[in-house]
This record gives sequence, structure tokens and C-alpha cells, in this order.
Amino acid sequence: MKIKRYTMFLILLVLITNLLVGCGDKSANADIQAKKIIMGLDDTFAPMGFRDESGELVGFDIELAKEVAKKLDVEIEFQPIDWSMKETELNTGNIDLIWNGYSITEERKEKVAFSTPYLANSQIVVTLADSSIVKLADLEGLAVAVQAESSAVDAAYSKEGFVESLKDGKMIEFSTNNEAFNDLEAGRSDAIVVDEVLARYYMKQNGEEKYKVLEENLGDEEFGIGLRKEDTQLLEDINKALDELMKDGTYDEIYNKWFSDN
Amino acid sequence: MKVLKMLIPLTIEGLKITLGVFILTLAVSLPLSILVALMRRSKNKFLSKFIGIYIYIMRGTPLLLQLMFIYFGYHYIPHIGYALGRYQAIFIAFILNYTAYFAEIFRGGIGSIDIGQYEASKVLGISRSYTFSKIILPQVIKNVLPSIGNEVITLVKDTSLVYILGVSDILKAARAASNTYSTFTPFVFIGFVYLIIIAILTKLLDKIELKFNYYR
Amino acid sequence: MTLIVENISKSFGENLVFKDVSFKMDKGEIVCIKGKSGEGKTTLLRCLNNLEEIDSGKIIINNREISKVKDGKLEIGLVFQNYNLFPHMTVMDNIVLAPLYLKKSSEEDIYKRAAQLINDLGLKGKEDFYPYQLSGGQKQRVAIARACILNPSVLCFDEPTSALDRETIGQISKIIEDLANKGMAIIIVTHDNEFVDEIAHRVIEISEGSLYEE
Repeated sequence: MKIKRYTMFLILLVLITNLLVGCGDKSANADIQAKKIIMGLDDTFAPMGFRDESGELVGFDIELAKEVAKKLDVEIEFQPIDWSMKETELNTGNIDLIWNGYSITEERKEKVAFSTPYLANSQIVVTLADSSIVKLADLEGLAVAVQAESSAVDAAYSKEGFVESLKDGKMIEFSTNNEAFNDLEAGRSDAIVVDEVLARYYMKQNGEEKYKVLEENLGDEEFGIGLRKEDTQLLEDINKALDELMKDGTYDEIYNKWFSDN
Repeated sequence: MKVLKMLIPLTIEGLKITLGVFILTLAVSLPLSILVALMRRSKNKFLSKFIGIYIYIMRGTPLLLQLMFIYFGYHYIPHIGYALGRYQAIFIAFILNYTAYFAEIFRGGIGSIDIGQYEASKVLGISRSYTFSKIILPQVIKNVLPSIGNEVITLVKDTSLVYILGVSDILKAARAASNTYSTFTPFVFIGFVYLIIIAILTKLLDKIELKFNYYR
Repeated sequence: MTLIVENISKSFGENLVFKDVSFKMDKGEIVCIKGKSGEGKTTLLRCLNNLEEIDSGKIIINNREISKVKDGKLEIGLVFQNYNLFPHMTVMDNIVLAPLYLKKSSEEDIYKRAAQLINDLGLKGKEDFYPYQLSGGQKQRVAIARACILNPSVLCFDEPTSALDRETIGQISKIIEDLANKGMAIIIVTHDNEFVDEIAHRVIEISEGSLYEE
């Protein structure tokens, strides 16, 4: 029957497609003896890991990671992932490290193992330079913007009574920090809550003199590298490497490149 | 503009993915869906029901979820052992999903053909398979073209879902440039890119519809 | 005898349509089957043409029993009430599709024969027209050509006059008589009494599951 022949042909087509497409795309499981580890990141997260104007992967985390890999004498591969899937990618073995401005929290500690913290961050409040807001309390009844599903949101809610005191009892949540900044500049929001690391990059891009950072913040946190709990040897090795880099000045070099206030 | 200097090469790379997923999905799922439609209409109750369940699942869950299950899910099912690569997972998910949608459209189209066509053919001694390919299918295609065209346009936009597996399409290119330069403009640019793709596609679909309008 | 129908019966589930129906036909005969709607005349036609299977009995054409044979029923042709032309094919393609598929003659012969039929049936010049561009009478003639090109010994018509005006009916009568004169046995299912009077050699009727001849 002709239909059977068509079926055969189509199954063949699907199989061939698969083969063509599957080549060179095998997800490697972490093998500590193996000479390669895969680092998962959202490659649009400036300034930790993102693309520069020629499309190259750059950022504080990228450079630090390359140095750590050198110390460990392994090859490191950068795998772009979707940030919301990071723990799943790690636990299914598609990546070996989560390293992208990954804040250390108690909930996350239950799912992954963290390296020693390598960067301090805080949730700061930014306003326009000419704003009359000086203290957190000044925000009462005002509009505050934030990036949805970020640690900024968590930090805001963890401060008792803060969110409730704002206009309409909530924050205005945008899908990206850029949009939150946009709202601030347009005058629709009076302030934004944001990662310090990210905010400083943004403000540097657009002219720091336009903004003001409140002295009070909504919480300090630290960035760490996420690993599978069972990769204990790798964790030990990485922590050792980080320690060495902080002692021999390489860390400072990278830090100054990305975070010095010029 | 510095932004465009970054955005354009990234967009071209992203287009390979966007168009690649689009073309490959269509190339496989369109013919496959005709087969599936026939199986759905089969007199074999078991086959018909089985295909019915497949279609129900594919249309009843978001493609995004299907992408996640197919790529990440193997880990949670014991004994499968074979991990799909990112691109394999994308193609399988898209093909499975779109085959289901197209199959339903074809099924409806095949069902709407007057039974007299089958009878005239039978009386003339023409086999069932020849009847289907020469008499029924051409008429079905003409009838379902608008619906198929709709799904094809949806497919272009669905390609942006590959982000969930970290794969870089044109929308991701916009996000990368946007975050690097802290500006919203790249999204506007990519919006236009989509519009251009859809404009070309629509023109193509119209031309095809016109070609099939040589009768009735 | 061209066609011998022997004791055929047909039921649809519990519904008995006809039982023990028998009749004979010779070349050139025009037999009209009359009867009230739903009495089974169309079913009889469909049984003769491979569209329904008889429950019991025999159908014998040119001394060959064809009740259970796969392509035996090509010796019987059918012109449907609504013609069932293939709308996406030209007149010529409609006519030559089946013989080209069956490959019983050479392509050259098939096209020659088609051209002949088109001529005889007054369709000359319309070879490349599509069904939607034809009148009712023209469509019917294409349907006739499509059936005749397979050289059936028996040609059946299902309500051929239901959609036509008086003048066109006259044309169709002539065509049918021509076919009969050339040796074809013709069976016509109809409730157009005027037409029956005009054209029938014999009249049979199906009533309450049995056949009666006038």
C-alpha cells in the first residue's frame, strides 16, 4: 500500500533529521576526572555574563570562571540556559555549574551546593538625581518599580510593612530591569529596587549623574557558584581556586575592571 | 549606532535558528500530519483512539511545557537513559506539536469532501490510495489552506520558545543587545524583523491560495 | 444475455430492501426502473455497481459471475444523479483519469477515444473547461463520457432528468438511444413518467421488496 511506503519515508526523514541535528550536541554529564566542565548562564545578564558589541561572551563571572578553570586545569564551556530552568539544568546533568550572579539564599541551599561567596551584592533603592526621597520611609505612598521574580522582590517583601506602605500596597513588577529603569526615567515610578551590581552597570551606561542611590538598602546578599550536591570534589577544588585567586591579586584585577567607580 | 552593530550579527545568527526550526518543522509535520489524519479516521478503533489521545495531549498542553518535558523529562523517567540534545528536543517537540494541529485541520478537511467523490472513483475502478492522492487530497488542500496558513504564521512566533532550552533565536538576540546597552530599542528592531518575515510569508501563502483557485 | 440478475437480496441491518429479485437484459435494451422513493431502486443500482454488496444471489455479466469479483463490475458503468465530477480536473482529465490509471489501453488510444466521445456528446471545445464552468446538461454529458470510455456493457443512470429542463431532456434521450443502438444495455432509475414513456423498452418496478415487470 502506498500509505505504508509514505510512513516508511517519513519515519526515515525524522530519523535522519534527528541524526543531523543531534550531532555534536550531546549534553555531557559532569565527570570530575574529565577535562571539561559546563557552566550554565543567562548570557544576557550584564555585567556578570553577557555579550559585548561583537557578540563575545564577557562579564565579571566569565573572567573569574576562566581563571578558575585555568587553576583547575580543565576546559570550561559556557552554555546559555534559561534562568528559570537553572536548577533543572544542573540537576539533570546538562550543566555542571550555575554561575551568573547567583544569589545565595536558604531556599536555594536546599537544592544546590554553594561555593564560598565571591561577590557582595545588595538590593539598593535608586531614584532620579533630583528626587526629594532620602530615606526608605520617604517611599510611603509612592510608586516603586522592580524586576519580577528577582531577589529584589524577595528583599522588598522580607522588610516588614515596606511593600504595604507603598502606593496601592504593591510594587510595579516588570519583566526586565531595563523596563523598571525606563519607568523611573519616565517619571511613572518614583524609585526602583534593584541588584546593586546590575544597577551600577546600567547607571554607568546611561550617565550616573542622572540617578541617586539611597543610603539605606533592602538587604545584603552574596553571590556564589551553584553545584550539584554530590559533586563534592569539584566544590572543594573550586573553593580552593577562588581562595588562591583572591590571594594572588587576580580577583582584584577583575573586580577593578568591572566595578571600579571611574 | 553601537546597538545595531551588536544586534545585527546576533540577529543573523538567531535567524538561522528561527528559520531553521520553522522550515524543518513544516517540512516534516505537514506530510506527517496527513498520515496522522488518516490514522485518526481509521476504522481501526484502537489506532483511532490512540492517535486521538496523542492529539489531545499535544493540543492540550503548552508547547513550552512540551519542550521542557522532552528535554528535561528523561532524567526523571527511569531506564530511558538516552538524553536528547537541545536541538533534538526542540525538533521533536515542535514536530510532535504541530503535526497534531495540522492533523486535526486535515482530518476536518478530508471529512468535508463529498462522499460522491469516493463513489465516482470506486465505480471507475480506481484504487483507494490513488483516489486519495489524485482526487481527495488536492481538494482537501485547497479547502484547508487558510487554516494551515494560520498555523504556519503561529509557528514563526512559536520559534521564540526555544529560549527555554537556552537556544538563541532572534528574540534572544534582542534581549542580549538590550541588556548590554541597557536600552529597549533592540526589541523594536526585532519586532520589525518578525513583521518582515510574516509579510513575506503572508505573500507566499496568498500566492499559493491563488494557485489553488483555478476552479470553483 | 448481457446481464442476468438472479435472486439477489439486500438488507440494511433489520431493514429488508429487496428480496429474491431477478431479471434479465440483452444488448441494446433500455430498462427503466420505477418505484416510490425509498423502495430500493437506487440501492439496486448501487449493488450492481460495486457500491453496495448483495447479501445473496448472483450477478452475471456476459456469462461471467461478477458478484464477488474485484474488478468485474467495470463492465457496468454508472452516471450519478449529481454527476460527481472531479471539480479540480478539466473535462478531458475527468474522462481519461480512470483508463490511464487502469492501463488497459495505450495512452494514445485513450486520448483518441476520449476525443471521440467528447465529439459525439457535443462537448467539443470544452476539453479544458472545469466542471464549474459547465451547465447541468454539459456536466451530465461529461459524466456519461467518463463512464463510457471504459466500454461498459451495461450503463446505469440514476434519475438523469431530475435537474434538467424539457429541451435538455430531449437531448439526453437521444444520447441514451444512440448508446443503446450501439449495443449498450441501459438501466435507468427514474420517477419521471414522461421520460419513461419516451424512452423505455421495458419497465420494471420495485415495490415492497419485490420486482414487478410491466
